[in-house]
Amino acid sequence: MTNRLLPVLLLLLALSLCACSRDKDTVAGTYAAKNGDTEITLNLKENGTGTWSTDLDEIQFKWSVRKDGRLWLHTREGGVIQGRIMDDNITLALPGVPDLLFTQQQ
Amino acid sequence: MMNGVRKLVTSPWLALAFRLYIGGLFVFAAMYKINYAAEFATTIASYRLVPYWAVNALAVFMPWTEIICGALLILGIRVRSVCTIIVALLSVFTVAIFINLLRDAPISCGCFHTIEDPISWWTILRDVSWIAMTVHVYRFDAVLQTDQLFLGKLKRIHS
Amino acid sequence: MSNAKGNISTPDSERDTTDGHRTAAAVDRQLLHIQTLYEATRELSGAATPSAVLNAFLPIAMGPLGLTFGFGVLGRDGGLHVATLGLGAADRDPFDANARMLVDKFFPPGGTGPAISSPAVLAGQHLSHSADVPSGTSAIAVIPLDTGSHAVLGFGPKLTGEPFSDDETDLLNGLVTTLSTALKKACAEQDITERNTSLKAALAQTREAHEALDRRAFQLHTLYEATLELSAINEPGALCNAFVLTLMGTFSFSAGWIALYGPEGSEPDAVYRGPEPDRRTLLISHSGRDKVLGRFVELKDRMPQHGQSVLLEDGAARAALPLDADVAVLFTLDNDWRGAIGLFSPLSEGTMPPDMRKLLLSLVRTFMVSLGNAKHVQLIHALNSDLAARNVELQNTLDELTSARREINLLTEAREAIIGLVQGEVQRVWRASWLDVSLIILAGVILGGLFNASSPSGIDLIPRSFFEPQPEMVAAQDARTLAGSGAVILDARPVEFYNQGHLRDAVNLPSDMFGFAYSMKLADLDPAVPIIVYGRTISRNYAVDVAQKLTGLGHEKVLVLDGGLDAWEEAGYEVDS
Repeated sequence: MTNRLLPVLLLLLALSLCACSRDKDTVAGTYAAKNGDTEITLNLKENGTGTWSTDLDEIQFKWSVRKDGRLWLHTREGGVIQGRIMDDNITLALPGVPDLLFTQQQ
Repeated sequence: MMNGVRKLVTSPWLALAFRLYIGGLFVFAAMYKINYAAEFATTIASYRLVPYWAVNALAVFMPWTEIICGALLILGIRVRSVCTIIVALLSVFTVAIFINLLRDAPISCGCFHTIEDPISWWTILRDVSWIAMTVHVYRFDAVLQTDQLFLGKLKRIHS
Repeated sequence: MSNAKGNISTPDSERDTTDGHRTAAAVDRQLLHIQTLYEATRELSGAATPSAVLNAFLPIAMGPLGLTFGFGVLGRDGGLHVATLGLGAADRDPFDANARMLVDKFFPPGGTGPAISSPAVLAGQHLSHSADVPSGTSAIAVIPLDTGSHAVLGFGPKLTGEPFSDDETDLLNGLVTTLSTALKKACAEQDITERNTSLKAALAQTREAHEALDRRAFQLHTLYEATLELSAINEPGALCNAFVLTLMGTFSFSAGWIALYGPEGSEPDAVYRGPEPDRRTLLISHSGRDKVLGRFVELKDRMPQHGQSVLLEDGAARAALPLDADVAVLFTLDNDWRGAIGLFSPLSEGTMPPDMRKLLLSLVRTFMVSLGNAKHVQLIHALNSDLAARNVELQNTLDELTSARREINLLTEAREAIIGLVQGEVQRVWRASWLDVSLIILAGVILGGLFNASSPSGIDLIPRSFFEPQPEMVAAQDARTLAGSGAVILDARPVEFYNQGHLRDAVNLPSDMFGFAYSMKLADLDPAVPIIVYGRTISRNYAVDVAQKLTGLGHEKVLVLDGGLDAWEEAGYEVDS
């Protein structure tokens, strides 16, 4: 019984893992936003990593799309920046800053 | 009637259902934490109970213990020992949540993901129900155990 | 004699002449009588035996007296000796027959009747008609000699037919007395001679008996020596050897042999002593065995039974034995063992006397007893060695058993231990075990550590800020002063905590999204502007993390608010929520 159960469980596990990265392909791309004078480029790669680039700095992070359709940017320090995906645009909410609207670049 | 209920409640198949549920829960919960250890460390830190120097280590080791426990529980290996660990972990989580509820801390549980609904008494209730299920598994689990498959025959050895 | 003396003393002349003639005749007669007596004494003294005396006496007495016949009967120790002279055959034969009666008449047997103690002479006419004596007997003389010995004599009439004169009677008396003396002497001499002879015979017998005793003693001694010698030997071969030597020595043979045959197929024992020692092979060969056992069959019912032996008398049977044998003995030891003994080349000729044959059989019997004992000893030895071998075997088996038992015990213990271990392990599986718990946690620690070390998104087990130079601290009061003079206040805590309450005018720059927030909020800030950071819990020193990063980004004056929000609040400064 257990022997028959094991592959079923492993299959379920694999499916649940797949579910996590369901929309990654569609979301991946380069986005840009402006905060005052600062121009920010958000590059979401298909492998789940991404970069946050400004004039001063470039920050590495990982990103994922949650089941509810939200975009999570996972910082190296352990923080999560939440965003919403709306068609080709992404809205990111940073603490103490108005929401940033990123538009997809060609 | 009471007998039927008792039979249902003490059924090893119910225990199996609980076992698979709790095991799956732990595997599922641990997978995110393993992927994002830094976030789990932040979560642990947000509880303000673990000393500064131990937070990261705990964030690295605990998810792996959870995933091992979950997997062993699903497979039915060393069920009682695993249940003991799971009950201990859940108890610690529950106590931590309880303390932070008392502190009125604005934190989420972090049980599965970094960003969740803030902790509440429902969270406590949920954890306690998981503890109860684990205790049930500890007490009544008897079917579809890998241990049974491989070691059941050894039980019959007499001196 | 007294008559003659009276005659001589008569003094008358005429008578003297007559008397002289008479006297001279009387003297002559007397002289004759004396001569006769002398003669008789002389003659009789020469006779050796009483019968010879009697025989010699008759002519001596009859001659001078002029008697026609005479006879004498000598009774001695129940025997009679009859002597006659002058009797015709017709008279003599009845007398021979009546001699006993005549003697018994005067000397009744058994000592009854009147005892006659001295010689006496009876003379008279009446005697001539007596039935007991020949007719014409004129005088009878009876002579007692000693107990059981006596003589009776009778005399016939004188040739002249005259009766006996006094002189003649005297002469007769004298003669009878002489005879009596001579007879007594002869009797005594004969007695002595007889005794001497019997003594000699007795002596010879004694000597013989002595010799026989000596031989017996020798035989017994031989038997004893043989017994002693044989009883000390336990080995049948050596026993046969010793015995054949004993036999050869005892019976004076220069060669001898003993052969002993057991059941079919067994090794025979044989000993041969003599010239050509190779001849022993004849004894131990099959034909030798058959020859010896054939002699047993020949004996039929005389065949020796258990413990018996037989002297082989038949020369042909002896010749049929495998080896020479002048003397041969067959013997049967028991059901299985039979044997033969042979002796030859005697040192002295002649057949073996019966007592030596007896000795030989006795020796053989002794030999058989010793041989039987030796066989038994041999059997006991064999049994003993067999027993010893079995004992060794048994001991080995016991040792093996002991070691096997020890092994079994060890195996049993091992089995118990393994079962105990297995059961313990199995029991452990179905109960909560601290070992399993520890192992699971250890596995978690090891896997977590390995994964974290190998993962690109791995984290420091101990926060890096812990090891870096600590930023400068500032008290709440000084911080307020600095803030008043344009310093920037940063709240490094997560946004939820910031939202719950923070210093007035503080900017939230959570340490976990420092880069993002910094680029948004402080990118344009002059590095010279002092920055005051706060935010610390038991689990995280957010302020220090942020301060170190700011310093790293080139901000010249980064201070950490000592005591954080609490110190600020305690100082009574403004807090927004």
